Amino acid sequence: MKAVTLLLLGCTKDDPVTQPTGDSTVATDSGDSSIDTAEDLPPWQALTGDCSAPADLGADTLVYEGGHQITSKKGDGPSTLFIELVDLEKDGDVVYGVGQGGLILFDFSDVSEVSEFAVYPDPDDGFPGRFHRVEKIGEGAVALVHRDFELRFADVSDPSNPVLLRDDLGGGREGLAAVGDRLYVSNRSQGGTLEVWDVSDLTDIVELDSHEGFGPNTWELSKTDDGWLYAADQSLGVLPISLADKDSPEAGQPVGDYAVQHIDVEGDALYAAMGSAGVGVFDRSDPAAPVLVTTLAVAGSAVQVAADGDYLFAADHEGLVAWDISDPLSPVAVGHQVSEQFALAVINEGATAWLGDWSIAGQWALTPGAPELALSNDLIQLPTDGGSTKVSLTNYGQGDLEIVGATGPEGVTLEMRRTTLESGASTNLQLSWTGGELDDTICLATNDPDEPLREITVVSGDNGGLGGPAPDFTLNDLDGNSWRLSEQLGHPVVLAYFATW
Amino acid sequence: MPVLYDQQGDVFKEYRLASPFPTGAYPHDWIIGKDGTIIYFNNRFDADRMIETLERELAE
Repeated sequence: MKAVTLLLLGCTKDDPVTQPTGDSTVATDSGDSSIDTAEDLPPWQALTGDCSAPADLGADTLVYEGGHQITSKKGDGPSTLFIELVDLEKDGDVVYGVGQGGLILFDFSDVSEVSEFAVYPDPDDGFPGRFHRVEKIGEGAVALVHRDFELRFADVSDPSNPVLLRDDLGGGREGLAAVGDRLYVSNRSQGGTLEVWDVSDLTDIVELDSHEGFGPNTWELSKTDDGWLYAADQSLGVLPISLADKDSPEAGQPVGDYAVQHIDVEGDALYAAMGSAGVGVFDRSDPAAPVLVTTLAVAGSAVQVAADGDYLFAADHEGLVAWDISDPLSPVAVGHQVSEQFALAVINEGATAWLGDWSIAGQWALTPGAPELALSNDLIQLPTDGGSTKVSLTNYGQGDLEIVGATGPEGVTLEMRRTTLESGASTNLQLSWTGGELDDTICLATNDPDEPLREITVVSGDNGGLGGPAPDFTLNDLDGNSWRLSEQLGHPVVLAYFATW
Repeated sequence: MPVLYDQQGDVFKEYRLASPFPTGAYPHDWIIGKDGTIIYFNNRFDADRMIETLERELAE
């Protein structure tokens, strides 16, 4: 008889799952977010006033300037729709994106009217699946990697007509980094190898060698201008790779026990996207041994980072997050904006960022100075017989965030210890409920110029949470077999929820 | 190991409500006790705590 049942529950982004902001840096089963619990903090005070936005809000921190929603359906059938922009590159006014459908080239010469140059390979020749990385490899050329099938090189000097230079079949590849006349390609097959390609002659691209002993689960490679690569490895964390001999890269000691998805380097600072753990800030003044200095919280799950000049950006599924890195090892949060769809990829040039937002490639401008509210959640369940819970509020902007008013349904008391939050600060909103049936909203009024009025849905229910009954469900597995949770009574069940991207 | 497809996201939404920190970001791990109650929730993978929770539950 089995002792434990492990159920993996998954969805795809096509599923209509609400994606609220979330305080995913909190990992506890204590039932308390540990924010504002010190005894020396101010006492809880009831929020009063109405829910009206202040008259003069000023400019927002992060503004969507323009972009392109991919809507055209190529070829026959829905599967040929280009979606899921997972990586971006930029060359002048041309932004390259890869995702489900191959490579797409956007014309950003006029941000008010962004358009598509082309999709490559030609969708009418068949759906190519999902490409994962794109990397410029010289004047007018890119390398593309398809995790399952191939490494491909294309001439994109005419962005309206990409031309195949070479393709090399074989799965397992993922990360790309072009350094001078070499292209480095991480390959997860055979325990983790690093391929070295000579791209000095785009008419004769050749693989020079494949070296063993690199990251077994590397998702991306980040290059520096001082002879190092850093592998973002889901198993090893940050793996330094010396390019002292460009054709014989040497793996150093991995740093940290973090699942790292993406890295960008700016000077002596290394920034690592670490999923729901946030963005790791590493001091790489010793390039062979980066040291984690601090971790930056994000509302969602940090999947890509981009650092250039004084600004660092992260795509965190929920949207775009920005920090001032004029002091590179002490970033200051300056902006946070929930995006339209699902933020997966980001690049930047100083205070301007380009975001791959599922099927939208957009340009964003950062204007530091305004406050920016992020809520830990916007859907709360309160026990039918009464009780209380907390929602954390974080100011991801630069200016002070003021909670200027709040209203809620009868029977719900709203309390905070403080109503002014400086940049980067968090506090809790405590909700207390006398009991009964509830399906209503709470309104918060703040001086966040982007969204001064925020709603939190509150419903009554007794799903219970920790110590309470697990909601029963019936789902089919991938073979069509039906599974009902309540039929597993008698032994523990592990539910691991994930999504396929 | 069964992989279940939550096509409409209904299970996720219901469990999100049942979590002390009902966040929207994936992944999420829950452990349901032998009696059908939720005994563990985390939105980070924490193998040590999961093993500890399971061993405690199995010992009872």
